[in-house]
Amino acid sequence: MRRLRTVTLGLALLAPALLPAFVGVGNGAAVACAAEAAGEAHAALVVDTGSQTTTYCVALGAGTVSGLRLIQLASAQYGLSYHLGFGGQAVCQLQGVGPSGGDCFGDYPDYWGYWHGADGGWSWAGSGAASASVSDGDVEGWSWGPGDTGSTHPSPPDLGFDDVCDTPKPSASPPARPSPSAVPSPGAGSTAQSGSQASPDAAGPTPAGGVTSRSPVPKQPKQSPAADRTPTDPPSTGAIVRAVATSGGATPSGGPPMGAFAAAAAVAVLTAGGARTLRKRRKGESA
Amino acid sequence: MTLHPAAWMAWATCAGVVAFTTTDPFYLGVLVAIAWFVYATCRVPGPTARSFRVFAIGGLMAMAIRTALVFLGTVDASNVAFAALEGARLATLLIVFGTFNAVTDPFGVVRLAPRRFHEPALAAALALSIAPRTIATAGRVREAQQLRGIRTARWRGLPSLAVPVLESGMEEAVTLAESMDARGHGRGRRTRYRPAHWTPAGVAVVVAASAAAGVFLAAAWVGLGGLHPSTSPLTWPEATPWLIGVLLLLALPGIFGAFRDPVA
Amino acid sequence: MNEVLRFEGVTFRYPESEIAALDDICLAIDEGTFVLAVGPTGAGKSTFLRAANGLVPHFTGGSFKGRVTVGGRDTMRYPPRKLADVVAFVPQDPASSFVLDRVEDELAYGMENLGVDPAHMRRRVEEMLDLLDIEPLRGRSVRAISGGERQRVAIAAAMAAGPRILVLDEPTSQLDPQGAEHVVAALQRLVHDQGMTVLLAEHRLERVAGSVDLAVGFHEGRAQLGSTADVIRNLAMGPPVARLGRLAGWDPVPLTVREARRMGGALPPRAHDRTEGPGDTMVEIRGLTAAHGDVPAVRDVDLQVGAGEIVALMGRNGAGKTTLLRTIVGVHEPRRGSVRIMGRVPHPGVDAALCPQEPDAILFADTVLDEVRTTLRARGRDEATAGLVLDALGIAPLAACHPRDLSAGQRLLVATAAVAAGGAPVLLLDEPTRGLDPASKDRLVRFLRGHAAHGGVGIFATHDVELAAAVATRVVMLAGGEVIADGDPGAVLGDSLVFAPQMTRAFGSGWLTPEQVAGALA
Repeated sequence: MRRLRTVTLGLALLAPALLPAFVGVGNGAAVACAAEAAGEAHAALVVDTGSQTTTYCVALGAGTVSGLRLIQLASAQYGLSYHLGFGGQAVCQLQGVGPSGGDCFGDYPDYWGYWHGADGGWSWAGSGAASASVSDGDVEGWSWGPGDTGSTHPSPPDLGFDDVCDTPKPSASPPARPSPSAVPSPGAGSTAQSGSQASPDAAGPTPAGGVTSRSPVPKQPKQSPAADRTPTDPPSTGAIVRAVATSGGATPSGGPPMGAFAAAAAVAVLTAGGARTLRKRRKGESA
Repeated sequence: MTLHPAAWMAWATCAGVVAFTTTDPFYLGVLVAIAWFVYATCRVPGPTARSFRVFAIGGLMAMAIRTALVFLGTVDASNVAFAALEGARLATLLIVFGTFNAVTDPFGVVRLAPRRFHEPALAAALALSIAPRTIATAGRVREAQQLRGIRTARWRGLPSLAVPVLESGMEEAVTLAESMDARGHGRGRRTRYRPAHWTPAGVAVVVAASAAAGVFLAAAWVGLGGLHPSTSPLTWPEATPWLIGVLLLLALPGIFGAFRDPVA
Repeated sequence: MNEVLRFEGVTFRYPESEIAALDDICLAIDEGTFVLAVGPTGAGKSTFLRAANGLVPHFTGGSFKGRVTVGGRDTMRYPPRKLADVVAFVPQDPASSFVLDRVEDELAYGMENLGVDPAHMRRRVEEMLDLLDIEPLRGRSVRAISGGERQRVAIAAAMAAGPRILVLDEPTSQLDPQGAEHVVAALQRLVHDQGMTVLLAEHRLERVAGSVDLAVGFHEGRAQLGSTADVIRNLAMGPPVARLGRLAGWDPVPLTVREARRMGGALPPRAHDRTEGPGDTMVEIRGLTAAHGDVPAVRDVDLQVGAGEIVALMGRNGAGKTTLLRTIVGVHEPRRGSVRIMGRVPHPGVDAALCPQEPDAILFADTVLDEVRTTLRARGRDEATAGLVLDALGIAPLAACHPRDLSAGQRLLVATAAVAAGGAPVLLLDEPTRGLDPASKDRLVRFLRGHAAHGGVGIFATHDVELAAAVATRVVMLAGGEVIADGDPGAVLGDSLVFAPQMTRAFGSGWLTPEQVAGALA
């Protein structure tokens, strides 16, 4: 009976320490998926900021992920920068475009529209990215612009899974709308053809980063608003860039924010003050 | 320094709320420093003072466990960072609680409880007092074993340490409960010898802490201040200076405590 | 006269125990009496005291037969908290009963629970502070005061609640002789001036035998209430003067020094028998200075102890005895000076072994036998010798018991066995007789003598003057961390007012034990 009491007490003491860890498992599982093996499931992600479209062939690991998770994976694999809002349930900002607060409609009327690829074209998503499922071979699209419905919001350039994820055909650049200002000359480095990543020749995009600078091209006005389901709705303009994989996990950009020094100063003052008081008190207590 | 126990409870609750709203390591770091500062200036000498260390270690353990769980799945810098930040928040909550435990007399707090909650409040106070007592006992027990010539490596010795420590802790808690009962605890109408008073300092602490909690809650609602730094991609978390200033409101009890006369 | 406590046919067994801790107890105690509970360790005294305030059986469980009525209330019908206005209890370890932080809050705690009005509470607190001479401590934390002060605070807190009967379990165990006298005097004043009833259990009978009105003698669960002299004679226990009376065949047996002097007459001072001097030096202490926290506890101590010596370290509470022992055994770093055991820096447990004041910290095995075996195993000695160690201390019958089920005194003996089993040549004991009845003390004495006879060294710190008188070959007196006396027990103890054993007080310098006096009177 004595032994039982001891064991119970021991458990009672350990439980509070372990409990928080296990509460975290649920969250952890959401973030830590099964190991992603190369060459398995992939999905295509198309991000159209209005002036430029970037495509990502994202490895999915095993099985199905949510639309949000796809973005996170693209970030890990290609360095896509993103920012979520509404408690982490909605996409506010991609590639630096969009509001940085928690309200994804901060730049209303513009916002990120969410599309599912359908037969090389796009269909407006009926529910949020958090609840959508993306599996091997799926195409997901995000486009920045105004318009509250699929018929009014610009869609990304029509791209199929093979356009994004397979070795591209030579003239792979699918309907790249000629823009009023010509596409900058090859070799300038700011825009690239969707050439093969392996090609060493000039027109190659900056190999290091996946995202190249925005080309100074004015937004193409909305195309025919008539049919909202036409797959060939030419949406925005600008070149289409294929993202180049970065080493897993982009390195932190820039340095610590200014506020960090304020934080460090506060910590230093507090620690010093506390230590001084402790020393004074200890002398007093033992006197 | 004597603040009304309810003032301390308010402080701890508000500090906890603030910790809950953010995973930003800069804010959490400042909050931990504040908790330590308040502990150093306001702790009540005695076994409860040890609580801080107990909860600090517990917090670090929880953080380590939380981070280690990532290794069950995909391991990349952003996942690890995410888990570490969650763990840091947890650790901060525990550390704030450790400060609360060390600056209040647990039985003083129990006395505030309405009569119906006396028994559970007492049980909670006793359970809380077990941890610091346990640490004290552990020290004595290790030494006692040393005296017999039983030499055990720090960590290997843990099991043989555990039994006497837990048994002693248990016995002590039971003896205390016995004597409290024998002295009439929970008997009926009680009076107070030195009733806890609300001092201006106590009121100020409650106001400041509530303000800090309110600001952080509002910031979380509105989504500003970078309360949840992005781990994917891994970037430097934000640190808004004026929010740090708001955090420092929680250091108020420590400032009062630093200037009090040391108790004889 | 009113009865304040009555036991009717009380038989009690602890849970899962076959032995009756209390066996058919029948007695009644009148109001305003000072009663002593006496008996061998484990005989039921503590259980009896706890039955008086309801802790038995409400907190212990077990099977309870019969009835206990305290202040007119049946303890079965009233839980301890409902009896708090009638009976107050001070446990053996007062620190374990402290609830609040400040001394004066602790004094008021009981009254708060009873709903006493604040003005009255304040008056009582002041009275208690004065009565037990603890006024300077009023704002201090209860954890920051010495053992003796804690004991007085606990007693004051119990008294403050104004009960009709005050029950104390070994209230002077941690006090030096001076402190003990003080407490007993305060209790007597309560009985005589305020008509309170006081019931206490005590082993150090020399401290209380002369002050109490009645005694309850315990033996294997049975109890007998009678005059102190009768009870003590029947139990064959008692303070040294009583032992002397038995040896010399006196009737009635003296209970106080005064009575013994009257009966024995005058005796010439006794010369120290020149036994052989100590053997080779085993412990060498030079210029030792050690601190306890920030305060120097041992100042510039020089000491040499040779093989075969049994040294008693004595002194007031806080004189530095414990710190000195810990430095000798090697767990405490000295600030200056050195300690060498047989020329080496001491390794704890190997060269010297120390049994600390709190034996509970040592015990972790399931049985007494295992405790001893663990030490033997750790020190690479033959586990079969465990039985010998237990025999030497007379606790072989307890071999299969769980150490925490034993009484406090028994636990102390088990801890001593566990420590001694390591075979260290220098054996250090800190307050080894707390809670030990005379029979167990005798066994300890024999054990120490055996250890010394085999070339070992024994050093023990104690308040127990009679123990020092009985077994020490040398007495070292500490005050403020310094050695103020060092020499033959007859001389050192004879010289001291406070630390003189009863035989010395009665018959003069040099007389230490009843055996010596009886021999001289014959």
